[in-house]
Amino acid sequence: MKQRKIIVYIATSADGYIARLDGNVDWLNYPRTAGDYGMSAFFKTIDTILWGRKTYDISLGFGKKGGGMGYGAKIKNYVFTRHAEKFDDSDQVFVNEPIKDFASRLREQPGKDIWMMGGGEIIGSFLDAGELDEFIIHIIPTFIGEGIPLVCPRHRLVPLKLLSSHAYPDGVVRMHYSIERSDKLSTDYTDYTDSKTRK
Amino acid sequence: MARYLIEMRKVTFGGANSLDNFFARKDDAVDWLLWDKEVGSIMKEFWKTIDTVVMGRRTYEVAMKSGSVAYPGVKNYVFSRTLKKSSHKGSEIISEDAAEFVRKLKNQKGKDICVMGGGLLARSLFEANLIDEIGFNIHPVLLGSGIPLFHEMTHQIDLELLGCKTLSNGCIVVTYRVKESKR
Repeated sequence: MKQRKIIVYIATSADGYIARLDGNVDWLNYPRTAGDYGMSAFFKTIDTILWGRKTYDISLGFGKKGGGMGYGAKIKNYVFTRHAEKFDDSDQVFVNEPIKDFASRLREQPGKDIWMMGGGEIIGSFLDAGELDEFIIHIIPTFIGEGIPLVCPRHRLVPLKLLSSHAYPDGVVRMHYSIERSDKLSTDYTDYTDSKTRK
Repeated sequence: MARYLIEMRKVTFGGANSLDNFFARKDDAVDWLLWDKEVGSIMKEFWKTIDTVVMGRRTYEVAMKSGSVAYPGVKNYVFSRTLKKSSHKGSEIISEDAAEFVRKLKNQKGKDICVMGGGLLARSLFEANLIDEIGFNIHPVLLGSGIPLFHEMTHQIDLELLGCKTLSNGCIVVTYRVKESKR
């Protein structure tokens, strides 16, 4: 059986933010002259979406119509929250169990790949739990100045492997990375110590 | 009038960064940098286009600690209100406002000007609309924390992608032109 992957598929500003501080993504309303940047192809490979609660709330504000948070009834949506008062319905399941437990259970179930929607906090938590497999990032050619970073800042060193990159004619750059697991760390990074300084 | 007569010197900003947009770790460590012939030849071509380097006091001090105080063959300016005199003859300490100084430099004849390091200097030059081009060498690594490319800015700056080159070591070199800033 094919191992299910958890993939961050997201757009960031050229200064690395996924949203303004208030969650606004108005800067994404950027003339899209290069089609859907592979979105529909990617969507065919997934059947599950993972949301951080704040991102989910913002998305509700977009007023998407239809089942499954607007992504269709065939998609399973899980929303991570620390609040127990949320109730599951047909559209989504709320989760507050440890990430490791949740992710291993999800991976054991047969299915397609899993889309990690974000935001930065849940991406950071999955990354630190070793439960992310890939990043597909679309860099929008704009600096928004300040905002919510792609990955919640925390001391870490995560080597990535570039799988592919593509520059679209409208200036969007798509980068696809896999996350190097600790058991196969790239030799370029294994001898890292904090005391090394700029040469 | 011929365009080249009125064209000003370009100010470029950039460097090697992690995917999460840090120039260095919190302790200034850049042990994660990947260097090879490919990067070397890109940098060699870049250095041909510039004759002036400007940097902030902090970048200068980090460079001093590691023994490389001034870039050879170019004019080095360090902005600081506290440093009195450069301890190295290759660098000149500038106490006046960085944006004013760079604006004057742009009106003088010469090759392009490179902004080294990030942080406060890059932000003040961005906010004064003085940066023309940006180049990042995006490394395949997440650092999680460290010295940011530049400090938070209050306004949006739209960019035009000039180039995107994938290197064999997994780095991506992207270059942008600054279109305009929205206030």
